[in-house]
Amino acid sequence: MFVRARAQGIVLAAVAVFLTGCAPTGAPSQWLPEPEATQVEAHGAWIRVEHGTGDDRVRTEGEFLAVEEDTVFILTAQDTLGRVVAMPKGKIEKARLGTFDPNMGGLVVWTLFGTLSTVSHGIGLILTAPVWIITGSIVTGIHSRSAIEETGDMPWDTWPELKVYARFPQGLPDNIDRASLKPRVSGSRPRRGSTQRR
Amino acid sequence: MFCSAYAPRTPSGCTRSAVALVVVGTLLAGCGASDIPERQLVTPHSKYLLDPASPTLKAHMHDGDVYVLSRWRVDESTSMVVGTGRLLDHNRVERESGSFEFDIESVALFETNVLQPSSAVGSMSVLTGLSLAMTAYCIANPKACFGSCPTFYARGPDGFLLQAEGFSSSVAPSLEASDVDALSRAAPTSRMLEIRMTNEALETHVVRYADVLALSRPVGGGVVAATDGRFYEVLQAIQPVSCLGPEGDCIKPVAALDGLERISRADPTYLGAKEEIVLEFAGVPNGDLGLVISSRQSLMTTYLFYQALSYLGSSACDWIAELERGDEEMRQRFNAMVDALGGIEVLAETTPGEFVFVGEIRESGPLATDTSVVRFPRGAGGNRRILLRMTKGLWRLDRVSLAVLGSAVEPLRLRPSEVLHNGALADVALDELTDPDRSLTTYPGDVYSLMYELPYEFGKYELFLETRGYYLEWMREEWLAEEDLARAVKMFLNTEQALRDLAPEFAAMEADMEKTFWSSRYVR
Repeated sequence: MFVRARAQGIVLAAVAVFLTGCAPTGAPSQWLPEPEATQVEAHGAWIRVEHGTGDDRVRTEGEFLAVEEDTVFILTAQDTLGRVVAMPKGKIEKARLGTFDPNMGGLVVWTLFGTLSTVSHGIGLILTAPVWIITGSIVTGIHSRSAIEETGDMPWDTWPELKVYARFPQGLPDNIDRASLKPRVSGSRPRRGSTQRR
Repeated sequence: MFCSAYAPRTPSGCTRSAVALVVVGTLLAGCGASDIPERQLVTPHSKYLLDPASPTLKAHMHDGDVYVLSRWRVDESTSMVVGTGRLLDHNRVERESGSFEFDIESVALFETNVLQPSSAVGSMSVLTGLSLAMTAYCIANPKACFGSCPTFYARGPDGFLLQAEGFSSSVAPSLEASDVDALSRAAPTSRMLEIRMTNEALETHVVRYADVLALSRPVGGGVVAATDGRFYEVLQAIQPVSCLGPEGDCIKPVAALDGLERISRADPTYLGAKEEIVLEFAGVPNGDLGLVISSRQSLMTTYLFYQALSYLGSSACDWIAELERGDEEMRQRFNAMVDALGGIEVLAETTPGEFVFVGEIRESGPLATDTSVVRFPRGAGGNRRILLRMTKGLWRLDRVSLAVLGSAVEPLRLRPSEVLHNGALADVALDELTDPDRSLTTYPGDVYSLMYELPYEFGKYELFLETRGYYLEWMREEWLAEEDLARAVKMFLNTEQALRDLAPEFAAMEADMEKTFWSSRYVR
């Protein structure tokens, strides 16, 4: 009885810790590819930029198309139509990219199960369950943040490092008709298929 | 086990079933939640940085289309990319699928995507399985338990790759030594180069320094470390036209530095048995030449070292202490096994059928491939035949080429400018690595990020890592079970007989040893 009640309390504590530790990518549901699918699909990351200051602060988000010497290109989505926004780098206060779906569900379940499994440790779960909670919450938080790239208060220009997440990492193609660029539809991400694991 | 010692009572049948379900759920829930995709961009000009082992290749074209190839290769002779997969338009809608061939120069950028295990989730895996998996592997095969000197990773085209292992033979303070390793697969994208130094075994590592050496490349060429301790320009590299070993044709594995290695099995009756392979090179120009070999050892020396420690058992520390007290006879006995196995001997044909010893490569360590050159005396050009003689089953050859050498070059020595320990700035560790009177001590699980500021135009430099130090193995409990001082003495006093006695056991475990070894790493 004591052990069961203790286990319930521990699980509730674990859930609370997880929810505060995860970092969201900001992308629409089912928009980002899962890790294995990133090997075979070629859309850009989900980008959210903040520009302007104070009351004029505006957020623009969409698919990261390209970055060139002084401009960032974002494909915003309006239903099935897209609009290419060319944003001067100098005006961007902050940018955040969601690069893949980190599949947090699996990790959270893993940790919860791990915590529950400490019930088998009898009185020892007093020591081992918190280890699972602490480790799990840290790991879950770290793993969720691994799917996010951000510019920040860096003394150097980080955009060259971020171009790898663009649809066109080589830059926006010269002769492309920007009006013909279409956004990815939420929920249309590729399934896990026959991608090869190294 | 702590937990079972304190369990208040035996669980009922229902509770056991519930617990079993939870444990299974724990294992299953962990599946699929562990990979992080790492993307790298490579320009067509730097195509040699493309890792052929990457499962997919994306080729971004100037018009916005992209090829996504799941089977691919770069044909250097025709400068064509060949592969199967799909061609997507600028909206990533499929235009075509099937086999493709296109000019490298038509590509704007190459992109590789490799899945790396999440280091954060890796720690969860350790929590889940450390006491189960590692113990199981080491109990099943104690001499295959993972062990190494410090290991060094640098970012390549497809994420962090193992690049070097430092001072592999320095298993005691008195055996402290320097070691130089080529960072062949490092692909820095900025002036800041990060090298991760890890302690992945049950060992204590003492590192005096870890400096990057940067050497300016000649145009169209490279730089290689020689067995005389110097660095030489490589003006031209000539692939062999034939390679003949006991197994027959061995040209394919030695033609390129591609992870495909020429290996052989140890002799099941005598571990010191030798083998020879003969390579032929055509159209060799006059000039200074050298044989460039990219190689690493198999796990044979690891097995023998651990076997020696096992036989020494509880008296291992006494023997190491004798070594430390400067006992020359002890040192010679300690090195007897290494000398019996030897290195890769290089012999050059002077007259038809007659080969003369030119030099030997003895770079030790089973983890990271390293590249060295054995210089030849100046001679005439034309066709050349080279014979390699080495212990069967000890050496893995990735590439052998004949180099036309230029001048000796001096390196720029770069000390770390910043050190992070497990992600946090570590100024003390930085001092310990840069002060000649101090050293950095690391323990199992430690990860240090060493940051180096590269020269401007860093892409024009060949990079090497020079390290110095020693390490101490932790005696595994499983090894003590084999304590047998008589056999230990035989290993040191009658090395040849010991290599015969141990041959059958090594042969029996040889095939599975690699898998066991890598499975029992302490970190990741």
